[in-house]
Amino acid sequence: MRGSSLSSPAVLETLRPFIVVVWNGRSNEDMPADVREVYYAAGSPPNHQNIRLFVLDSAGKVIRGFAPFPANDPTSLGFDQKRMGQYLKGQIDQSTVGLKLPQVAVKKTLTLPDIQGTTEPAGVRLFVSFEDNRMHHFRVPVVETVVLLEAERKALRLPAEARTIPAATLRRWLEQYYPPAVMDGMGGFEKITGTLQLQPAGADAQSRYAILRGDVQFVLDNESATGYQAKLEMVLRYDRTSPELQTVRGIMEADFPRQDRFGRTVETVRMTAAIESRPK
Amino acid sequence: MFKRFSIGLLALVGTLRLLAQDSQVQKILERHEAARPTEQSLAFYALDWAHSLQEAKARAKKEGRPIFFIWLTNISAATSFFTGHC
Repeated sequence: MRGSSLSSPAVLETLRPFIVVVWNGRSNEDMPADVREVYYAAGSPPNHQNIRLFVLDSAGKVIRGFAPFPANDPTSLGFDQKRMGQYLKGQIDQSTVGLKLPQVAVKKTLTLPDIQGTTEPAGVRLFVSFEDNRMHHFRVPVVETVVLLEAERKALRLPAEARTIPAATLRRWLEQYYPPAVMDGMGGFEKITGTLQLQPAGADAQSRYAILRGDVQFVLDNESATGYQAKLEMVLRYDRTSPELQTVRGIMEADFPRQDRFGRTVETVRMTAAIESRPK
Repeated sequence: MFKRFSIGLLALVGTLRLLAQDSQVQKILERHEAARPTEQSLAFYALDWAHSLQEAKARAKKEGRPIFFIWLTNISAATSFFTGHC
């Protein structure tokens, strides 16, 4: 839905007057009180429905709840972005009959996941993009952020000479590097291993540089323990006067083997991460 | 003569190494830039997102706007619809 109906131009336009919010959890039991109130205010939803949409008025009153697909069947529109968008637009239009919708200007900036912090860099952001696949799972990139820890800053200080660091040092960053829709996993890793080489890489009038590169091996925590290997390359920038890390720009690439529940690879999808420090 | 030649050679090797490092830095920066997604592919983030239902309700009241609320569960994973790991 994220990459299909919710990214369709017709839906984006229809939703312009709205404030959009999402709640996600593992099960209904995870719902906090305010979410539970909305969920049941729209009447009892059908069983086994794991995605439901609601329109509320400006006073917070639930107008209507509905599924994003006809008959609550995600396959019913053939995963066609246009058809899915038209269906969702129709549902939203139906829900807003009688509501006075305000005129809202087009937003000039994107609301991306980001990091606030007092020390710069406060953290890193990873844009994980994918080649299109058979089921169009990956039309919208994953955007994750990770707060930078002191141990990571220390490990990434400007080296006087080339040295190695274990990939595990950056495990919290690397843990963001997997595709959506891995249905049999818990969103975690059994192993992340590898050795990265950190070496000085010259200077210019304002800055000094180092390059961090190496191969990283990943094993997911899913039933078939899906494994893949990525090539990581990052440029680390430092001031002329301090070895403390200032900015990060990097890239990671792998071929991800999408597997069925029997562990057979059904397709291989190119997965690319652009890694950058935040806020600059 | 040989000493001068050796020093010159060392300086040249040092310069070439620095140039090679610079070009590697530049190459990685260019690959990073090319790997950043386009604004069009991130259109989902052009929606006016609130971080919580509580925040959405407070803003809706203040701004006189309706709310579009997406609810989802995923038993198998720590889902985040907003970041995309879902």
